Amino acid sequence: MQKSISHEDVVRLAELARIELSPDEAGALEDDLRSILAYVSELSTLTQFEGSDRTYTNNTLRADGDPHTKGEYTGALLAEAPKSDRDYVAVKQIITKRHDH
Amino acid sequence: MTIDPSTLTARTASEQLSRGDFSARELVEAYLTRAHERNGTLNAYLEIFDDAVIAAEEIDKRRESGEKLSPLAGIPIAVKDNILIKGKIASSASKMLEHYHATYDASVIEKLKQAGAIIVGRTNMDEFAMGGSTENSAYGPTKNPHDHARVAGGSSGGSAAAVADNIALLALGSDTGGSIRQPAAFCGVVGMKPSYGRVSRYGLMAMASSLDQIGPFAKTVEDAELLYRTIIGSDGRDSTTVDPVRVPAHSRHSPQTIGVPRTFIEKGVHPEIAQSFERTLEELTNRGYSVVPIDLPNVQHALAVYYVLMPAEVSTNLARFDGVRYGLHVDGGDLLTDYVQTRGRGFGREVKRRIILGTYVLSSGYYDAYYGKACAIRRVIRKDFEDAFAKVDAIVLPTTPSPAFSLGEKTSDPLTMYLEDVFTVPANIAELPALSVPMGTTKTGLPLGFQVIAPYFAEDTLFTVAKDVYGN
Repeated sequence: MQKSISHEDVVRLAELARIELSPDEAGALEDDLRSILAYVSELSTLTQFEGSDRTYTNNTLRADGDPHTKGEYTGALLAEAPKSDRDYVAVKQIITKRHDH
Repeated sequence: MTIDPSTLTARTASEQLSRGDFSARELVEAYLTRAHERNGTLNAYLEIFDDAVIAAEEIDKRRESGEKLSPLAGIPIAVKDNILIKGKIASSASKMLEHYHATYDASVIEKLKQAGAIIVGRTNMDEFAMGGSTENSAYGPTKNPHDHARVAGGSSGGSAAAVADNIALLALGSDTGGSIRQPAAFCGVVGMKPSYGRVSRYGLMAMASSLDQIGPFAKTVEDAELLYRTIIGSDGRDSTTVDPVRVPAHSRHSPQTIGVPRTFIEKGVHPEIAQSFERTLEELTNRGYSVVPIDLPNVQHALAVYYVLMPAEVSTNLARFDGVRYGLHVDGGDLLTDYVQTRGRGFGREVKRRIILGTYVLSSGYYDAYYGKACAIRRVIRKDFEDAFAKVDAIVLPTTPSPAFSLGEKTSDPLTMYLEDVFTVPANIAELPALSVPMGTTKTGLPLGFQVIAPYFAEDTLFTVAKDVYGN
């Protein structure tokens, strides 16, 4: 179906997926992905696509308005957050000030 | 009176509770005691809820006051660890959520509590429901109650083993590609995946959202049906649930014709499974069913479709575990390093494998070749089933190609493990209801499963055929 997966591909995919891999893990994964992709490549031989689009689901939207009292779940949710600050989940700063001008 | 869990079913226990042979408290205590005695070896439960006796006493009081209770009132039930029970840990058998407490009840848990069922523990599973043996649990594998050197199946292995070993009367699991039916077959119990859209997944940790369903485990078909009827229903909090009135009835008559996809099952099936399967077909013929061969021209591609669609959905669903809002947090200096290290340490090998595979099939340049193609072939497979159901009322095949395998036998090669799903995946791909019912054992005593697949929303057909295979 496609060219085989390389070591660099695995490293790049792990970066995209935000997952740290040890060199051992990356090596094993390269072999695993190669064999799994070889297996699923049988799909490329299929060319006939007369299918069924049956579906009974429809889009369900909640009515506008407040679903619950403000702050009702804040305490319970923050209790599960690794880091919090007053009524907020604490997240590291991603934009830093430049001091050079 | 002495309570012997090995002789009880949910129905008989319910009758005895109504008669006053024993109280819900006594029943629940009997199961908790037995669970504590046996779980050290079995590892079916990640946690046994000793406080379940409080809820049982509540049921006893309500019964004493003359209240008419549901048949599930006071019945001990086990719940897979990826379904949220408010205030309890829900870890999905992952290090990522080792200390995470659910902040709300899943819809199915609300329904169970309303019916008065007593939740006695959360059960072991493959991490985030990814696997077919429970060996991917971060907390050790579940043993098969029939042979402790073998796997219980997966991913809902703990739920299946708990029911098989009589340390729960009923259990809930989830099934994305066979995770209820395969462990049910391996452990010798009834396991069922309802139609996609039958049961709300609100409060189920999402794995592959176009495939996931919650379903029951039980010792008998009628118990499975009882639990199924308790948890079904459309839900405004899960927009994929379907109001049954929108679905045209498949047929009004009771099932008469059963189709067997001969070509699909002719290769790679363990000889003792093939024999048991043929024997079961003969029994169905003797009971008046017409058993005919059918053709599902593209069903052999269902597994390849599954191993593209499922990882794609896994990679997006599991993006939520970032160490910020809940679960494990590894401090890495800056935000990106926090993410990367949290996910690197929190996820096990199989979860990482599927996330990275999913990232690949969704990436630019490969999306059409893999994901787009798999979606198209999924529609073709669904049409094959629709065409087949124009001629037959149910389709049957073995639940698994082989009986329970040994612990460690398939852990080194993921593809061999994936091939275990070959007979269960098609029902998920086509969104159809399917049920596994015991069909005897191998000479060495390992249970075997007979699978029934019915048309969309025709779960009643599953129960009728399964009762004809297995009695009630």
